[in-house]
Amino acid sequence: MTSVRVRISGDSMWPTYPDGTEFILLSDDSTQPTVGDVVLTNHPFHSKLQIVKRIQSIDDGLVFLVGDNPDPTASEDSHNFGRVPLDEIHGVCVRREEHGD
Amino acid sequence: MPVLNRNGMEDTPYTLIEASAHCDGPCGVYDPASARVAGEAVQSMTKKMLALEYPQVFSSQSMATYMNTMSRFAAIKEEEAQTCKKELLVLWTDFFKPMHLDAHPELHDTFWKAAKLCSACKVEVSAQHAQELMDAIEAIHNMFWSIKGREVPWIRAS
Repeated sequence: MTSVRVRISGDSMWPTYPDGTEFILLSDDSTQPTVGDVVLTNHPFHSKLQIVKRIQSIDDGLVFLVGDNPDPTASEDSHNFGRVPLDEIHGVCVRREEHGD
Repeated sequence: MPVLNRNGMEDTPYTLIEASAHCDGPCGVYDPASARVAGEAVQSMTKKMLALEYPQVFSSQSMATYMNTMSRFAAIKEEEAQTCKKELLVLWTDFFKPMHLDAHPELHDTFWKAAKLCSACKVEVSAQHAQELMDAIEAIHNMFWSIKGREVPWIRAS
């Protein structure tokens, strides 16, 4: 099986995950994104652009995504583009050490 | 897309997805050159005000001309100092982010002093403070391009 990794560019997930951080993507049916997960999805306004953000909340099948960077201008996320449907989340991003293997 | 689960994975060949974790809309459109141009105008007007000689022939016409010229220099100095402060504050609050403090711990102090110098250059006609303002902008220029990972020389228009 070929695994999928995700590498981020940019500082919106700093300080938790700096520019260039690589994640393992968990995308099987048993992996249900939950609040606090870092996830991969497509930018609602740029369909070819994939983005990595953290789930702040889930309400009625809609996910509010945020960056970890505390600077209000450091992350383009649900503050800018609104909530995204839960089924548009492609998978959960975890670091290798978090994955535990 | 290959499927993985939470219970384990093997370190086998993998597909790599490049994903964005970028900032908001104005990302990438900053340049301290705008502050530098305004700062140079402040310094230029300061020098012109200090160099302007009092009219040798005292008359209503000569005084009106003198005061008009001096007033225009002062007005431009005031306006450009405000523009400079605005451009600096945009850089400070929008471009620079908390993570930049690691490499540039003097960042906040440099900007704070630069903004104060803009005010000083409005209040006074001080060649010293105008030069200190330019020095501060040069320091900000160096921090900015260091963060951008590019070598951009400090070049003045005047």
